Amino acid sequence: MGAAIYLAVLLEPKIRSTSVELEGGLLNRTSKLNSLWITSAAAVTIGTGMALVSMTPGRSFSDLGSGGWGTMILIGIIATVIAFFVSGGAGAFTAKLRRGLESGDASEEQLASYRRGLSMLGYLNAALVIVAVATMASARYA
Amino acid sequence: MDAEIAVLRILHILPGATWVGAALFLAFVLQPGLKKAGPPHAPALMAHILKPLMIVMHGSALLTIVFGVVMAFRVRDPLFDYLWSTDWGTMIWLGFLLSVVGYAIGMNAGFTNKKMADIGASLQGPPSPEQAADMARYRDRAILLAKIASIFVLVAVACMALAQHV
Repeated sequence: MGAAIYLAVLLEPKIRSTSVELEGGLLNRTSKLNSLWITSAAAVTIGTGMALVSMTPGRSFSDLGSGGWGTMILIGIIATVIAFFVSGGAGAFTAKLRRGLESGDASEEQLASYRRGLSMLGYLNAALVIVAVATMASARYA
Repeated sequence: MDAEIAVLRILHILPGATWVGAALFLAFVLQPGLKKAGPPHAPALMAHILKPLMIVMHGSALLTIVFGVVMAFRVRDPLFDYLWSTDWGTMIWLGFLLSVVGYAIGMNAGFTNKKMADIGASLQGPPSPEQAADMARYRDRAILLAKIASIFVLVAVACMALAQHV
């Protein structure tokens, strides 16, 4: 979650506010590792979260959607899974932007469109993971 | 009571997840990536992101610690009896101690990064060999400190998460 917020709110806007040369250089050096890190962290979180639901005493997947706990956990799971795919979409825009800057073939409009897509999906991803963590954290008390 | 604890948990866990995630990302992904990128990319970006980065890290760390302490007082009363005499208490004070030490080390990493960024900002042209050596030394020290700090806060999270199950 920290990485998603950090990337969307802090790092990407600051990178864009510098120069195109710097943006291209940084994307070349960091974008693949960023994607790998966030995808791995999300996959581990989703996997262990599912295992926890099935192993929590007195709870099971059949409780999802019913009662306070089940509803909150279900909302959290849905938000997390959507965030996972949104993050994948942001990664695809990052790759397009990186390739566009690297090759010099992409027009200014295309680059602007990639940046808009990346920014929008980055913020959406950060919002979704915040919703997911908040619902999961408060589920026991719902 | 439940609503109050639920709100406190959200106010503790949201900034906590932000803090730990950002610390790990910074230490193990961004700073090593910037090191590979080298000048002029790394100092230029660091000069841009250092201030907002410090605000995010300090803000999330302080919120996590403050709301964690408030929550501990609300869930166990009297807290200090539980802290020293139960496994739950041991895990909680250990987590608290590790998070505070991690925060202090992280602050040190931030100050070290600032020294590097200050040298970068003062450059009028290419750095002299002494300036380049100083920047490399500060950068490597900041990376090391950030890694140590992030491991401390990661272990703190593990202690806190396990506290009610030990």
